[in-house]
Amino acid sequence: MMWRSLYAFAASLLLLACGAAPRAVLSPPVLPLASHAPLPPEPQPATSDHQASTLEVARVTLPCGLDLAVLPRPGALAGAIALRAEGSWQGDGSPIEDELVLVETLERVLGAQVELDERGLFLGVLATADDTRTRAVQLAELVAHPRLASHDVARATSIVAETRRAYHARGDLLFPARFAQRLYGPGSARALALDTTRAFHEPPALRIEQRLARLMRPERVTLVVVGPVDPAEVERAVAEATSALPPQPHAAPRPLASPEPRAHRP
Amino acid sequence: MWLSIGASARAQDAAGPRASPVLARVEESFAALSWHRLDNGLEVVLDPRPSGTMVTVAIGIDVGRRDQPRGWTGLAHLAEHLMFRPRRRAPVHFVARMERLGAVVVNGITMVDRTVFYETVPSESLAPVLWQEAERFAHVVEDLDDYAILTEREIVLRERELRSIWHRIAPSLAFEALYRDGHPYADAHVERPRDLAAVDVPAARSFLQRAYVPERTTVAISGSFEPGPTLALVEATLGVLRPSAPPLPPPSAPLPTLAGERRLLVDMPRAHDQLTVLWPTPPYGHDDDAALDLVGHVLEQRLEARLRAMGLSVDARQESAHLASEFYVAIQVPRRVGTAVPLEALDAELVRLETELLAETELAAHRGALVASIARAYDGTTARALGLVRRPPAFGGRYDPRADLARYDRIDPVRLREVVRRWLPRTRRLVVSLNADPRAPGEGRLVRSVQVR
Repeated sequence: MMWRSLYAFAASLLLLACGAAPRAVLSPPVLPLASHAPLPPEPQPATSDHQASTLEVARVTLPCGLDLAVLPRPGALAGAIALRAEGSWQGDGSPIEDELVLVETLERVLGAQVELDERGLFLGVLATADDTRTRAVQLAELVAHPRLASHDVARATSIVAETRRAYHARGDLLFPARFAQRLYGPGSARALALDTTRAFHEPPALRIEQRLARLMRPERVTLVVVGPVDPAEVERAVAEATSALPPQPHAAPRPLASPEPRAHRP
Repeated sequence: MWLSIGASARAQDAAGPRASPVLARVEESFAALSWHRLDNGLEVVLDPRPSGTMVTVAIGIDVGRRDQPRGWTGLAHLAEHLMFRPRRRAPVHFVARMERLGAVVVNGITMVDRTVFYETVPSESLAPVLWQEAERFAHVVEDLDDYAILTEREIVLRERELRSIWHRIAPSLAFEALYRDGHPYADAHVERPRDLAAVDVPAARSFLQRAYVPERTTVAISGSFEPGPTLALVEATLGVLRPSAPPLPPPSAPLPTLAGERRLLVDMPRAHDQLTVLWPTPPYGHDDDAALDLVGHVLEQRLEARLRAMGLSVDARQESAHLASEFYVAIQVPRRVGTAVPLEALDAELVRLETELLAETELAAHRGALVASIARAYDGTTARALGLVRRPPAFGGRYDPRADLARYDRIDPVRLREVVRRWLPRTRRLVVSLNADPRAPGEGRLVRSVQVR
């Protein structure tokens, strides 16, 4: 009996020395299982009685070649705007640093979801009901005047550079350099996106703006607006925002050339 | 049988006169909201929106990390994970079962005050989804085994690993300073591997049986469905659940207070330096809670403008919870810049808010932006259902989003100034300086802890 007490005392001293709080006893440790009433047989999904959705999309090509689609949702509490600028980084010659900084800049300036890949640039913005038209015009203005404030680019550059340094310092398991090398091959510019061991050369703000301008070709841009808006009003506002651009037809989509895969199973 | 309560009219009264068109639109969108209580104590909230094609089922349990017994951090999170395990009667992972029914969203979240399970599916799948939910709640305990605990424990530990460093280390330092030992939130922000390692089948079973009981559970259904048949369906499925143990008692605790200003300096292997300042503030639903939301909005914008040249990001907000909240300001600056300048900027803005009344127009702009951003979330069925399963005590245990939003319309500039003076004193707060140091250990290193005043 005494030995048992001594043992318990020593164990609690050890716990205290390790900084561990004593663990509560779960009470009661053994409980009866619940006696639920029986469930009915598992039902199957009902046959859908939805009519095939017919979306009332107002679609128009503006004089500058920009393709505008508006889906009105009267009474909605939110709006969404998507912009797709078709283009490609392939053969563009831009260093991958530019891509990383451009995405970070646009995310911060527009509060948008930004994707930039071999198909081009995608921007997605969620808007409040009253701001839907204003946010659509903001994106249209970016097409008409693809300019970025140098301090916004500098801020984004600092974030990208510091984040890469921190990943490298931590030896982060998510972005191992060997994975980047296997995926893109040694020497590939794109490997920098994953390989945090390689030097990151901070790009000048002007080059980032030029990169954006090359992507924002109005004849290759599609702007989609969904929300509690009047399509005619949106069309008028977007046309006004892009009125300074020279007239041209909307360009036919480019065929997508997939990059040669380099990864292989060992 | 169920008891139906026409709370819509009462909520309108609570909201007072409509002060903004956004609020009017939100009220209109919740016009068909109804609450029902089943015989087993389960609360059901129906939010029909006939125009869509999807429906979200959210099941909220009024039990979270605050309810973990002492020394069992991580148990609530692990219990949530166990709900997704394959069953003898349904031998496929719950997410896969939902995806077969066309789910676009399936998830579970363990929070400080509550645990929520939810899925968004085509409305024709509503009946099988409710059945599957009832099945997992009815049989989770009897299907538990060592393998399930072992597997899910590894996943919980891995999730912990992947969380940002702030979530891994800083909370234990900051919340130890904010919440005294014995407060339900004292250990609610950490998951200790040694505690998780102690969880076995009896421990998980005991927690599940006492936590996941119908009388502490709310089911919210939002989207395209018929209210009458749906309520009958809920009664036939989740209505059969019976408790097998007395529920965990609802926790209570006084609001924490700080005796003075405490400063912590922590080295961390992170990208940027960061200043974090925390104040203990009143719980969700308290009269001053909404005003602090607005203070956060004003402060964030003013600090963004003031620190444009050097700040990388500013986050200021009231982090509301059921027993107590924290007002939180986090300012990120480039590495080696340090946190003295951001702290100076924050103090200057606090003095401004304490001494100058905000112009009515500026207040209206901030209020409009805040209410609109909340309203924006309520456009989707997932956010609506997740909101409707809340049971904050300050709302009388039944949450109405209209009454919640209407609180913002009752705040004037004098009230805002008073709230800053009362809750955000510069002499009683916790200041955490995170110093980005690539050589610091992964878990961070507490360099200094000083009681300043």
